Amino acid sequence: MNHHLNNEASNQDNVEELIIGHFEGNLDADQEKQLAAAISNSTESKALFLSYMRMEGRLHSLGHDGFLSADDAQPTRSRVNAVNVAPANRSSTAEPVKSAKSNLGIRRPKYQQHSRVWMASSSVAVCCMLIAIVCWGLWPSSVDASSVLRKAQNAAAELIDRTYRITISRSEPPSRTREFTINVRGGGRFVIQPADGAYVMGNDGTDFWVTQENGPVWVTSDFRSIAPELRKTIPVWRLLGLAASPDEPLLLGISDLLSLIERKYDVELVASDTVKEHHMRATANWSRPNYPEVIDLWSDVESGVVLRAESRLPNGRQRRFELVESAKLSQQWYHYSEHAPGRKVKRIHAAD
Amino acid sequence: MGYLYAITRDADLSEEIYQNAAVVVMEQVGKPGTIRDFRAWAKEVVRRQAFHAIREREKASKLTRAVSPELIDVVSIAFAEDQTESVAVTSESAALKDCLNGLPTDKRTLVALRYESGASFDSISNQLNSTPAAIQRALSRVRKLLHGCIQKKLRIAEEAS
Repeated sequence: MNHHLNNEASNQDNVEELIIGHFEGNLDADQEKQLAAAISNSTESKALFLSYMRMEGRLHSLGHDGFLSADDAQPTRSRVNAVNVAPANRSSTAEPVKSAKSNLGIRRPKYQQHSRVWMASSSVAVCCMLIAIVCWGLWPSSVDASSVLRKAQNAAAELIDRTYRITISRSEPPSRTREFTINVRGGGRFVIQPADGAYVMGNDGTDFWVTQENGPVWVTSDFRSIAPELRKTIPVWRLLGLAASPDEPLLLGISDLLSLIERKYDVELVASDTVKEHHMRATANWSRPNYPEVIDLWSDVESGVVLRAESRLPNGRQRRFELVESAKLSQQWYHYSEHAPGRKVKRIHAAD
Repeated sequence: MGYLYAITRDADLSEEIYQNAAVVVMEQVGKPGTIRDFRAWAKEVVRRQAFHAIREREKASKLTRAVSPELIDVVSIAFAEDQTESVAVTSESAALKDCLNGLPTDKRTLVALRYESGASFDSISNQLNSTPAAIQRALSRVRKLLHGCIQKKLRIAEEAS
């Protein structure tokens, strides 16, 4: 019996060696056959392979995003702080048109600039970049790196309501344009509605919620933990899944967005048509199909608030963001009761 | 990503496939629900994108030796049939981060060099004044260490719940 158990353990050890060897690219043809046979014939070996596979994927993702170095444990915050305490690195902004490329913090080596951002996911690209840029509340009135970061930090800390109109269009046939309105406030609060009013979705700082015309309100505080089958009962659940994704640092975190710009985009101030606006251009120094190559931003000279933003993706798609207003909204605006009064509420918990 | 790397062993190609598949998947967001099993469908999108990319790469003959078709098939089937809940996947991800943070600096450096910079064993050994074989063995041990650490954390969490 013990001999049998020992053999099993030994076999698993061998399989583990094969799995590791596979991910290192060290297996010969015979060893690959052995590994294939083990995965096919043994549930334990298959599970072991899959868990190693997921780990490898995560390690590559973390590596791509530059999060593996010991000093990168808290990459965003550490860099923000570094800039704050190092004003000597700031450049002069006396000239009206110049590049800020060298002032956006520590530049990573070239290989790290070729990284995937986040996964996104998730995954994640279209809606997330959309919401992320919408949440780009304050953009600096100059291209000085330190002031950019300071203003952005301050903006992220403020509970200011902004309403943007978002237009997403694509040039390739069949051409299509979609329009949304989104209200955003710090603390992760947002309300988003498509132009046709088919649904309303939001977050009041605690719960995600979504409702369709005349339908119930679906509410959850832990969308990511809900069983997949249950999730699908929620309207627009895919979009809600993106909004609720903890793996999508672009979503609502201004500091993460700044980290992205810091690492992936070169920013320059270009000539503006009016003295009341700054026109900035962020150009990607990496290439990925579902992230904008160029982001143009027009900001108010005095307040630094982004008035318009346009982004272009390599696949020809464009997104346009226009600030509609900055009027203060009530706290209640971000709660579903404001948008679906008297409707039946279906609260979903992960344990349901 | 793990699946893609498992069948391509090429981080850049995996990334490219992943992003292309993400575009296809994202195009479905907001469209009327004609897809009954989104997860299975998304996996199939990834698989097809991967196979297409692998064929293209073979044409270009950029890689010294590709993964055998037999192993690709087996891995693809395992990936397609994998029913691991997203909660478990999220827990694994969190556990990995904890385990990485618990690594001694030298091991963490090794992991960073390999996964962040994509450095070869030769290159790492030059940087760390070692030999490629020693680096390979050390990385294997770190992988086992991390994997064991993840499993241990998951067991503890499961027992506590």
